[in-house]
Amino acid sequence: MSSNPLDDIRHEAQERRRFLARVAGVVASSSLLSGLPWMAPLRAQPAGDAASDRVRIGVIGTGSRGSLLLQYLLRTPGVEVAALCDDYPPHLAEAMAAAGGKPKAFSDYRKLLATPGIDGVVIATPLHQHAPICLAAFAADKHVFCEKSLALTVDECKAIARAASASPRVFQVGHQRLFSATFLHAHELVRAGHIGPITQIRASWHRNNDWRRPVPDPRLERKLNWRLYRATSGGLLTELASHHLQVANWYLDAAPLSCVGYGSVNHWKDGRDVYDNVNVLFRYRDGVTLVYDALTSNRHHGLEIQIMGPRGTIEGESGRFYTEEPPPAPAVAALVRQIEEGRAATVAIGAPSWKPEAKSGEVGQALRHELGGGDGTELSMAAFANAIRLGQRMPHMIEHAYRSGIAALMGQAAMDEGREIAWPGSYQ
Amino acid sequence: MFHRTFASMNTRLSMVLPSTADQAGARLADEVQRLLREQESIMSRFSPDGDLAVLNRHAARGAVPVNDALWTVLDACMRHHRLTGGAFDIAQGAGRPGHGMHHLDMDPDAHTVRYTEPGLQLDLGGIGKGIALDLIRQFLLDRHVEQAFLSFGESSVAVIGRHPAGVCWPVGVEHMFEPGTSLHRFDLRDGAISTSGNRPGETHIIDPANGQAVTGCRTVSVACPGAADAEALSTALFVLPAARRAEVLRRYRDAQAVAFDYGLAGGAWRVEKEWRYEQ
Repeated sequence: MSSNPLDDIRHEAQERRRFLARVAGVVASSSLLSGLPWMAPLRAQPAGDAASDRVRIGVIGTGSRGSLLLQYLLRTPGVEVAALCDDYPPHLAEAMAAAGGKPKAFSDYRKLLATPGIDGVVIATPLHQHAPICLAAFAADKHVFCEKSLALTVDECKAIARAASASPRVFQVGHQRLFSATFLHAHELVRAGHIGPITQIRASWHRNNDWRRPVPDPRLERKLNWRLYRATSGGLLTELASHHLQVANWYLDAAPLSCVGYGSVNHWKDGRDVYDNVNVLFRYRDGVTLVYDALTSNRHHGLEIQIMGPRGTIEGESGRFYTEEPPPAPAVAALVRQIEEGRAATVAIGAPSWKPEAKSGEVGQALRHELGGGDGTELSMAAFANAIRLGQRMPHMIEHAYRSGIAALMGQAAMDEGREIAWPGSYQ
Repeated sequence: MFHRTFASMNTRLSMVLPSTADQAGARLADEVQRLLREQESIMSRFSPDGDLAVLNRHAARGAVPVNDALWTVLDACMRHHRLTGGAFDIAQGAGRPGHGMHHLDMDPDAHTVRYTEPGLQLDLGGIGKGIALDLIRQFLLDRHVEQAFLSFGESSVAVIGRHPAGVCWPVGVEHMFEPGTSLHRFDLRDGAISTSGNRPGETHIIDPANGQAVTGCRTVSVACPGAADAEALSTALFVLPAARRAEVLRRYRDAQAVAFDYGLAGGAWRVEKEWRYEQ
């Protein structure tokens, strides 16, 4: 490690440049990938150092998620982190230090938005602030990257989606699985019919912790533990489930029609007013169901989304694909190749009988990783910067953000009201 | 060309139909899967309502009527039992010495079966795949399929016609520890191959002569016109001493066989052709 953190960042930035150059090649050579509107900006080679290539970004909200996004932005070629904003001074100070003290620091996002020369903003604040900040950013003619989930209420979701579609600027949402190699490959398998039509999606996120952040002063409880209170968050549905809701909507190419569910606080009875366990069912067209639950009192089953059809199963988080039917033996596959090539050779085949290795008939095939093994966050930041530089909007992003944002709120309403909640319609 | 692999009888069946188009092949494969489900319900010991399972539960207490399909199978097994001098025996079980098909009382007029020994259990695991392959092959021939390669769990192969780029289907016995390496080639035309063997440490074939599981890492492969015949022969030859094998093989038309012995030498598996028979 060198003494100056900026030297490390410069070194990593070079590696990042090589990686992004490779990604550009992969995306450009794949009609499937470059056909996805949010991947298209990654076809561009990494930007050079010219001032005209530079994209100036402000980060609003520099807590845990915001500081991670900042790390990626600092290493993305052609990005200048021009401003940082947080109304909690310790978080702002840490972020300023990480950025080498260069950006302008703000405690009020309105002042950041009023600063000339900032092209776009990355919003990583508590959920209840997404709507006012997004709307102000569009009003200030900025490009906007907003963390998931979209907003705290249905009306706010609609307002952001309307503002994003009316704006000529780029809008992107923090659903990094849209940029994850395994989820992109899984999407390709689904589209190519490898699991047949999707008949059910099952997803869950199980943890065993109180989901709390340390609070130095009790007066900061609601500010720092904003995820635990209804005034600032939708709880597990908006903060965790929305990722898998987005994947389900993406793969099914639809929004849910309706939702039912139960939730409660059955373990962490510590004054929080969001549920510590949520269990929801979403109904889609053609009778397809998404079964979702999140738990904070048991971690055995961890994090997974299973996409199932009559021909196979995809496990997105572990990146495995299981066929319902076994694969042919290598000898049979070789024979098929021979016949296709019009030649005959001895097929070595033999005993003793093949037996299935697992209940599902085989150990799953691994999904691809040629876009890097990360969860997609890094590429999502690079795509945002490129989209701004190229002036390429990603209209699909609004749909992804709106559908998953609304689905999360439907789940919460279904549990709260104890009834089936219908899709509230388009934002238009 | 059409090909499909699917799970069946606790293993997998691969169908390769070089001269059949995709759509026609898919229809045939669906039919074959149906046919196999029927066969499995007749021959499986494990499906509780299956014909063989019902027989196994009740036949020690009195004669049980058996449907035509299962009767045909048991009748064929009895024939193989006789032709192999008792070496092929579906009434064996580990730790059940003294059992055997001589305890089966089959009434050919009434089509009933009775077990004269309590605790006797029939197991078609050693021949069921061959019986199914013969049925599939006939099913495909009846539908004018002229070329087919069928592999049931890789231990049983049956073919129709010839390889589209050859005069036969050249099928090799695969080296157990060197995938893709052929130890011996059979040139199949409208024939079948079955291999019986033990992987290292495996003992699943019982020698009817003493009721003991046969040990040792070795294989016996038999090629002959019928898939069930090949299965019965490979199972029988596996337990028979080399000196008695030729006499049994001569009772089957056009049967060929080869046996391999595997041994550990200096930490590596060495294989030797132990024995070979051609008519």
